Amino acid sequence: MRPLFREQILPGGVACSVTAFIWWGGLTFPEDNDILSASISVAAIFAGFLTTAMSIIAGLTGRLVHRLYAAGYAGKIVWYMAEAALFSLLFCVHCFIGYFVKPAETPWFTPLWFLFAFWMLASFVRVTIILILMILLNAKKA
Amino acid sequence: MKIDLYKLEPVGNHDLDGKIRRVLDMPLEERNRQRQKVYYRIETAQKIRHRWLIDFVQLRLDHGPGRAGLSSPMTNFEMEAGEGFGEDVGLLWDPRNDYCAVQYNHHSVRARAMAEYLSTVLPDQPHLMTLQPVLDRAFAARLRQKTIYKKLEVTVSVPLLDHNDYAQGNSVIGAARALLGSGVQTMHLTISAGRRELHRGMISNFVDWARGQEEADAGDGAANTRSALSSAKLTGKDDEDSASEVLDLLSQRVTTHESVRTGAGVRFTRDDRWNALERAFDRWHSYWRQ
Repeated sequence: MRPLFREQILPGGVACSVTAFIWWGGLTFPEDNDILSASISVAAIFAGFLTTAMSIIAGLTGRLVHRLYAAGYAGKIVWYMAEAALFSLLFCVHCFIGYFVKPAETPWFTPLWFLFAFWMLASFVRVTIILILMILLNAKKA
Repeated sequence: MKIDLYKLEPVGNHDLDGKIRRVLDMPLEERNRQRQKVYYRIETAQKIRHRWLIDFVQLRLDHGPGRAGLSSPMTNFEMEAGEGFGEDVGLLWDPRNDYCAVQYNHHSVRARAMAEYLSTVLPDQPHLMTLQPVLDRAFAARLRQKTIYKKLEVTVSVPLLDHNDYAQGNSVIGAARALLGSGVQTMHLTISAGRRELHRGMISNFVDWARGQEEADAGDGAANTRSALSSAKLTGKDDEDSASEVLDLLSQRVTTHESVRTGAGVRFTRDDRWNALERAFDRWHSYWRQ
């Protein structure tokens, strides 16, 4: 498997495996709504961080960063950011829906909650690693 | 104008003659081929006394020079949309012995790109051929005389990251790490035998390989910058008692400088360039006459 392909499917792969595991284990959602409001706060922080990360990356103009873009990676980096932001939003919306349905009695709610949560987390970790590397690249004189 | 002697080395039977004629029958826009972001093509070709004289043009469509003089200010050239600058360069090919005289134009098509064009210009008639620089006779003899090889020094310029990394499926994180990890842009490699000697077979393989590499030069966006070897030196002795001698494997090619007048538009005229190629090629008859 090519590293680029692996890097692209890893967050989805992690999220789907966790979800399958939860589905198989038949885990049910907690009764009270505290976890939903906590989740929304976490997702909002992630989305906020991602927006900041996007503006940081847009401002990086070092020679090595430019070389990374020129080699064709610009599209992938943008796509990774978009994926992380999109799943943060989906997770947020899903938690809002949780206020209207009874999560503990709705069979699809728990697996989906795990799917979005882990997809968001994994793609967020990927973006963070890339952001750190790009900041280092920008600082490096070569 | 610098001219180098090359040997066309096709694998198996080729019909380059027919191929060139087919290219000449094609309209201009169909002859363009792209190589690393620039377009180049066979502009014109003519068979004169058994020899093909071929003109390649490399197009520069992004930006270019202007018109200026010692007492006149810099002004723009008038251009239509879709036009840019072209750099032409000549190739003489003698089909009877497959030797070629190649004009060197730093800003235009070079030997390796020419060979690639001739190999692949007709998709239904692909045929691998390479242009190998011919080694100077005296140098080749000196190289043969050396029976003891002591040291091999090579300088390679390493491309940091390019399209190939992406095409090969290298990950974003991997690519960024590669850029971070090695600030190396040139790599010096020395293979020294110390008191003993280097293996002859390895040296002759290396000389053959180095011969095919074009000299690397920094910082031009032309179609020919893929090569990376910037110096290759071999130290050897005739026998145990003689002194060591350093042979530069890259600069010992058959080459000459011909003076060419500039014509209208401050450019070398095609006739003058082709004449210079013929003059140089005739002077090298000892190489190509069997």
